[in-house]
This record gives sequence, structure tokens and C-alpha cells, in this order.
Amino acid sequence: MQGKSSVAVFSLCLALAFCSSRQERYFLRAPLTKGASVAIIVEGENDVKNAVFTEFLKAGFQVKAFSATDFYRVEDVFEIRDIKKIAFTAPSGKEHSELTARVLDKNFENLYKLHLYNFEASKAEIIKEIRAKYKVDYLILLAMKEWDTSYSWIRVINLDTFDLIYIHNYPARRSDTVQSIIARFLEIMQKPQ
Amino acid sequence: MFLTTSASKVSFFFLLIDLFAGSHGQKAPNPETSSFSHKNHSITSVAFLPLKNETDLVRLGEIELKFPVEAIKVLQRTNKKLKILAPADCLRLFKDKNTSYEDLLEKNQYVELARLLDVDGLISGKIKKFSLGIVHLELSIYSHLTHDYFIMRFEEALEKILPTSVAKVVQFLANYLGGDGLYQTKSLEPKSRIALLSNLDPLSLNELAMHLGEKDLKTSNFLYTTLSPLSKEAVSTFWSISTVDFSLTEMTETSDGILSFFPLENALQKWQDYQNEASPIFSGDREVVIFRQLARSINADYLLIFYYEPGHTFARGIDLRNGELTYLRRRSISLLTTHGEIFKTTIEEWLLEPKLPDVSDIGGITALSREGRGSELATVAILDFFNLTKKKEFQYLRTSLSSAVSESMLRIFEFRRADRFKEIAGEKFLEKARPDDNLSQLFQLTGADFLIYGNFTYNSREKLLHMEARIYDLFNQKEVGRVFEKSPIDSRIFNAVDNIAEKLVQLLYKMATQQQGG
Repeated sequence: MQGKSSVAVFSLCLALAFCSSRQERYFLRAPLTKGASVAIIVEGENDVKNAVFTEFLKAGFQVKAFSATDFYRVEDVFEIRDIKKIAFTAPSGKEHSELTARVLDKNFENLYKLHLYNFEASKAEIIKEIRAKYKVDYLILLAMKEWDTSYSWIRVINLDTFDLIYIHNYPARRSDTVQSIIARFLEIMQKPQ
Repeated sequence: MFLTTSASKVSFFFLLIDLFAGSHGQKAPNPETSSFSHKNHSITSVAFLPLKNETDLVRLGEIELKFPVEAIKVLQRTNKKLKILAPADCLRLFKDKNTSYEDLLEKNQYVELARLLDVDGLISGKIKKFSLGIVHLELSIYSHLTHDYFIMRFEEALEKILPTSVAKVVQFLANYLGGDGLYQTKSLEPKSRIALLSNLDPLSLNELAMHLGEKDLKTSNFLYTTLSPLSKEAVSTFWSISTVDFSLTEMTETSDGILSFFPLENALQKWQDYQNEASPIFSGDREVVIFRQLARSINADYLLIFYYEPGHTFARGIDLRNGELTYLRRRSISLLTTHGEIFKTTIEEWLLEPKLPDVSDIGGITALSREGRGSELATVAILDFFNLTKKKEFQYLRTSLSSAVSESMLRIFEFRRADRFKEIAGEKFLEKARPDDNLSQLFQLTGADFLIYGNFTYNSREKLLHMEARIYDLFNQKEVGRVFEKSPIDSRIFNAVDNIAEKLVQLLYKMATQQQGG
């Protein structure tokens, strides 16, 4: 009996989890300037990308030719973990070789940290370049891969200040289309405060 | 595509890393239903092992002696029920159990020592370096309840090292190890810019940014230009970030697959690495430099490392401008706790001004009282040293030594100096008598509770001057201790004079410590 009620409580929790996960939530620090130039990176199929660009163009934004077709994961480009496979020689003696292994492990971690820090630092440089060379006001990241089954989300970074100014998590609804979702994002991001 | 150079292309690829991984990350946030639950890892007893002075500066022995006394004083103010063992108690227990206490580098030694002393927590440490007026102090804290191990590093001016280290250690013991899982030295400045390192899924990362925004905090573009979360491994790598004054062990999986927060093995590994200076990139000042560079390039004031997994969260807040760890929070959470709840509580907590223990009375002058007479100040007779060299050119050392002792005493203790005429009477008496057999007479003659007395001889074979000094507790008619020093007859003699004075003061301080420590 007790087992059954536990199952019921657990199911209820799962149901609650599911319900609450379907909540739309956003934050807008400042509305995007009308007619601003934007670079949009979209995660999704090509037809979705085109639909997104079209909606932004229709809304009067200058959409820069910022293509995001060459997608690589960092693991494809730079496998930092490979460093772990480097062989090393250590003087005989268990204690000594254990210590050397630990030191190498530590150095690997340090390299990882440095790699990540440098990656973030060079990313900042690239973004600065984008801002200066191509006069992009906002960098927009859009995840539309699961727009019809799960969530879509958007982040907007003001390249003048490097601030994240708009974030929106949008759960999929039955009646939604790519256009209706983008329309919702466009409506919120331009909302006067 | 407007990035033309190959270098730019590579960088651009980096800019888009992990894009696909985003959709494979964790799904939507958990339901908003329950509150936090805390595991109770509250320590009820703690032992202060003797601090070690690894420098050759006798003067720093003052910290070695004062740190435990002052820390115990403040700790007892914050938690009267806590059972505390002073260094002298630990040494006595080791002696009773025929155990020698050497060093704490061996893994099993902590466990054994905690068992032996029957305590939940151990604190030991070393004074590692003194340069440009800055003391480098390293403290190790071990929790026998959780097997957590921490290293705190302090770099502070000599006059500030005690209040700073005592406040932080006490706060850490009282809160973080006291069951709250919170360590905080400063509040998050309003309107600050935060960079984030986390293994959260993109939706949750967005939610965290929303919570920060709602509190008028700005989110730096760090991490937000990628569409995917960092891997668990990547974030756990950042666990071991050390800071100027505080470093923690990293978080890795144990052999039985349980993710332990501070495994002892890793802690010791880190400790040994540090000992071997095998951390060329992230150590000491260089790490701070990297933090500063990072702060400039990503335009952020703070780095928040946020780790999440079902059942646990861990947050570390680092001020990127000075590399200081200002916020640390470990939480056990129920499966129903939402990300939103955790984010909200974390940010609100970090914004609050932390309650640091009162250390305004730390590091100052200690009242030297006499045993058995309450808080009444003790009277100390400091006699001129006896010149046993029979050489007139060393006559100046008689008063040099007593003056040096007097100066050192005044820096540490509040006491009453015996009447000079009575001190002279004592000197005259000791020209003909041995002190050990006549302590009650010396008590009558000088009217002092403590007598400091010494002599120096010249060893022609070694060509060294030998100095000896003793402290007697005249009131209780016993010897407190004696110190020796040798020196060649050159300018080094002045160092020897200072050393003997410091050692005497330390002896007296040790005695006062034992009285206070019970």
C-alpha cells in the first residue's frame, strides 16, 4: 500500500515537473533599437534559418550575412583530452612515478583551464572584431532545433557593452510555427519598458 | 561569410563550439515545489595542531604561538559548546599515547590523528615565507565527518595576518563546516558584471541570467555565446581553482561512482603538487594575473562557478579583480528543488553582507596575568644579564640583552615592570646565589611574579659567544623555561640578541596559552 502511494507521489512530482517546465520565461534589460544591425546564429535546419532571417528582415532589422553553416564542436577541432595520452618516462620507484603521474594530471588540468580561459578571451576578441568591422549592434543566438517538440530559446548580446540584454525560454505549443515563435521573440525584444 | 583569414575561421569555429551538444543537454528545469534540505555535517570538536614556522625568522614565532590562542578565543565566542583542543593539549595527548607528531603530508595521518584526538576537525598550518613585510601563511583544515580537506592561503602584512586569518578560519569552521555549507567573506557588489562557468543546460543557464538580471546584475557574454553547456568534466576541472587566500580541492568521482565534493586523495594531490611547485600556470600571483586578464577581456567583475547535479549544487564566487574567493556554497538539494529556487537563493545570499566574527581584539597586546590571581596584571623583573666572559668589551651586552627582552615583551604583553631598585637588588643577590634554590627569596626581593635572568660566556674553542636566559615563575616557584643562543663576535651578535629576546617572549606566551587554553 505504502509502495503504491510512493509511486503515486512520484508520478505527481513528475507531472508537476513536466507542467512547470512548460513555462515561458524571459528577461529584457533594454529593448533593441529599431532598424539595428544584427548578426544571428541559429541552431536548426536550413529552412528554419531562412524563416528566422525573413522574420527579422520583415521586422526592419539589418540582418548581416553572418553565416553559421560551419558548425564544429570543440572536441572536433581541439581535443584537449588527447594530451592525457602523451607518454612520459619516470624514474623507477613506485612513489616517484605516482607523483609524476599526479603532476602530469595537474598540468593537464591547468592546460584545460588555460585553454578554456583563452578560448573565452579570444571569443571576446572575435566579437569585438565583428562589432568594429561589420558594425553589428547585436549578436543574437537562437536555438530552434526542437522548436516543435520542446523549447526554443534566444539570447541577445549588446556588442557595445557586451551585456546579455535579452533572454527568453519559450516552450513549444501545439499551434506554434517557426514564424509565430520568432514573432513572439520580436515582440518582446522591442517592447518599450 | 565575412571572416576571411584562416585564423579568423578557426576562431570563429571556436566561437560556435558545442553548438549541437546544446540540444543533447539536460532538459527543462525541475518543478518549483520544494525547499532545500541540508545534510548535517556539523562539527562539534576541533583540534588546533601546532603551527610550524618554516622561515628562519624567530620573530614570526609570535604568529605560530598567537594564532591558535586567538582563533580559539574567537571560536569559543561563536560557539560555546564546541570542544576545542589547544596545541598544548594535542601534544600532551600524543605524548600520553606514545605517538609522535611530525608532519601532515600523509593521507592516513589525518584520519589517524582525528581518531587519536577524538575530534571532528583538525587545523594545522605553516608559516611559509616572509618577504617585503608580507607573511605567507598556509592553513590546512580537515573535517573527519566528511573527509573534506581544505587549504587556506593567506598573504598579508605582519600586523594584519592574525585578524585576517583568524576571522576567515573561524567563519569557515563555524559556518561552512558547521553545517551551513556557506563560506562568504564579502557581498556581491550591486550592479556587478558576472561571468559564469557552469554545466547547466542552456535553458537553465538562460534562467540563471534572468535571475541575475532581475537583481540588476549584469551577465557578461562569457559562456553565453555558446549554445551548449560545458561538460561536467570541464566544470569539475575548475573546482581546483585556487585563489590568493583560499584554495579548495577539486571534485572528482570516487571509485564507487559517487561524486564526493572534496575527496581527500585529490586534496593531498593538490597539496603535494603545490609543495613541488608543479602547478606552473595556476599558482599564486600568476593565477591572479590570469583572472585580471580574463576580467578585462570578458568585461566581468566576478566569476561564478556553478555546478549542478541531482542532489547537489556547488557555487564558488571569485572576484576577478583580485582573485579572491568571496563566496562558497555547497548544497544538498532534494530532487524536487527547482533550478529557479537555487539560483534565486544563491544570488540573494551572495548579495547579503556576510556576518564575519568580531576580531577587533585580535593581534594586539595580551594581558599577562599570574596564574591563580584572576585577571590581575603580572609584575615582571627583567634583570641585566651576567657577563661571565670576564671581558670588558662585552659589558654592553648586559643591558643590550635586557633591553631587547623588554622591547619584545612590550610588543606582545601588557604587564607591570618591577621597580628598578628591586631589580638591582635581585641582580646583587644572584651574584652570590643560584636562582633555582632561592625562588621565594627572589620573590620577596623583587616583588615580581616573573623573573627573567640570563648570562653569557665566551667559548674560545668555538670562537662563539654563548648566551643563556631563563624565565622563572616566582609566584608559583617554578622555572617556565630557558633558551640558548650562540653567535660569532661580529654584527650577527645583534641578531642573536633579538632571537633570544623573541624566544623568551614565546616561552612566556606559550605558558600564557596553556593557562588560557585550559
